[in-house]
Amino acid sequence: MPRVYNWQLGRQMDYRFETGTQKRQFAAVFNINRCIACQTCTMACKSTWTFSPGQELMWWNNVETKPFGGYPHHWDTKLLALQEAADPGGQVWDARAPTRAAPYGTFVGKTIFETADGVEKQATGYLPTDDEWKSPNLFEDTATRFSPTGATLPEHSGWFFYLQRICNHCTFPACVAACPRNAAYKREEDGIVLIDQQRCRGYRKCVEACPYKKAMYRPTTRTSEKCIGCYPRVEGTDPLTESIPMETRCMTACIGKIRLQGLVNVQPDGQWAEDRQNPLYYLVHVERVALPLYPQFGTQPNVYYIPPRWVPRDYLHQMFGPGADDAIARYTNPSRELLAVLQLFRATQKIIFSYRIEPGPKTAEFTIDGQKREIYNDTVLGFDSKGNEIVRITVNEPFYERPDRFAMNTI
Amino acid sequence: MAQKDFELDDPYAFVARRFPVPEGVDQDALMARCIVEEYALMAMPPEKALRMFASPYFSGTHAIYRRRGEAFIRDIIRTVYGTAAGEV
Repeated sequence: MPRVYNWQLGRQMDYRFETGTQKRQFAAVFNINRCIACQTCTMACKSTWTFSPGQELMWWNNVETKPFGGYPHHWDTKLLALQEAADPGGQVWDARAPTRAAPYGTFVGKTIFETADGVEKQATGYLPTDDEWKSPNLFEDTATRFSPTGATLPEHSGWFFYLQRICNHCTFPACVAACPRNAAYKREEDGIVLIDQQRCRGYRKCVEACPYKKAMYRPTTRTSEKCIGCYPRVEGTDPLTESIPMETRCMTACIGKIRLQGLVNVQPDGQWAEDRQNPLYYLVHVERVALPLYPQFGTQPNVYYIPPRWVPRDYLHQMFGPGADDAIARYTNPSRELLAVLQLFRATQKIIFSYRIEPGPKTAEFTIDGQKREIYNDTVLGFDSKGNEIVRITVNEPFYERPDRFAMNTI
Repeated sequence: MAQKDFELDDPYAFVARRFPVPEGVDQDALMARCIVEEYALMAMPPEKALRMFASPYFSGTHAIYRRRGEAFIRDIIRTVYGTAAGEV
């Protein structure tokens, strides 16, 4: 089996296919700190791609409430338990000083490929039951129970956060490795992972193998389907875009401005090529404020998260690896550049390939824990694939507060 | 579609388990401070930050305000913005 380098694990690992043919990779950063779980992304995806018979319980994009929620139910804890059972006590990180090739240290445990036998199973996984695919938000923000005098929503006084999930378009996709028909494949031009509906026979090996459970079976066609990364938009072939690559539906619909999606250049070994002015490269590799979801699974996922700063660190270490502490420290006390780049989130529907910052005046100064912080009203400019300016936004934005007279619209 | 009456013993109940807050952590203070720091980074004036807690139309922040009182919120705002921001 070929050896590949997984930079998120800081080491080589076995994978069914070689890497090296890909030119660019679909990637995104989600800022968990600002998500309000309005589910606009979920409905934007649903109304575009999964509104047909057989797709009723299919949510390519979902937002779940952690730690107790999940779609399908308990998807992550179930796989973590399987991995722990296969390598008891061994699923740990050797957290070293970050380097370009190993920014989070080295994972010394086993990936889902390494705990599988490689013959019967290419990756450790499980098939969720039909029940587990139902009710993507069951037990989350639902009314406590029916009351003839009126119901109240539960008020969370313990910690929780919302986790936004789409297909990670992994660099080493488990669905691709598991497919006996080679129907699941990764595109050379942008790294988007697709399932060829002509070749798929619905064996559901991808559903079983995907650690994030983002491949789903459709009974009406007897094939498996998954998030297609809105590839016509990313290609720039959508009639709206005039051949300029555009962000996906879920990204552009985000009213909380928590999402930024784009394309990054990759080297033949699967690592990101240096591209200092690409906002995704900056957030992931320079500022290291955005981290992969469960990197220990070993698929090198390409959706990155700015971890929620209020959540107990043990939980975050398990979910995002040992980089969580540094990421939160940088997010909590952001550099002048980071503050400006965060403004690019959902500022335009087009994909931002590079950015530039024009310095502005100091507008605020305050002290937290004896540390002086200064806010500068810098202007950040984003550019499309052709180098044309597509967005210009300042750090300071006007505040709009809903007047009390509209209070009846509140929920 | 068949119409059914609600049943009071319907098992469709909120059964989430609350995860423990780490020992020594004041969850209200932690969340309020996170929110105030985010407001400060957006260059929001401190008096407006207080209003975001005091107004019942912002349910998350107002829940903390209701539980802990205005003095608690004022104190956090003062800690984050510093005395240079003036009396909130």
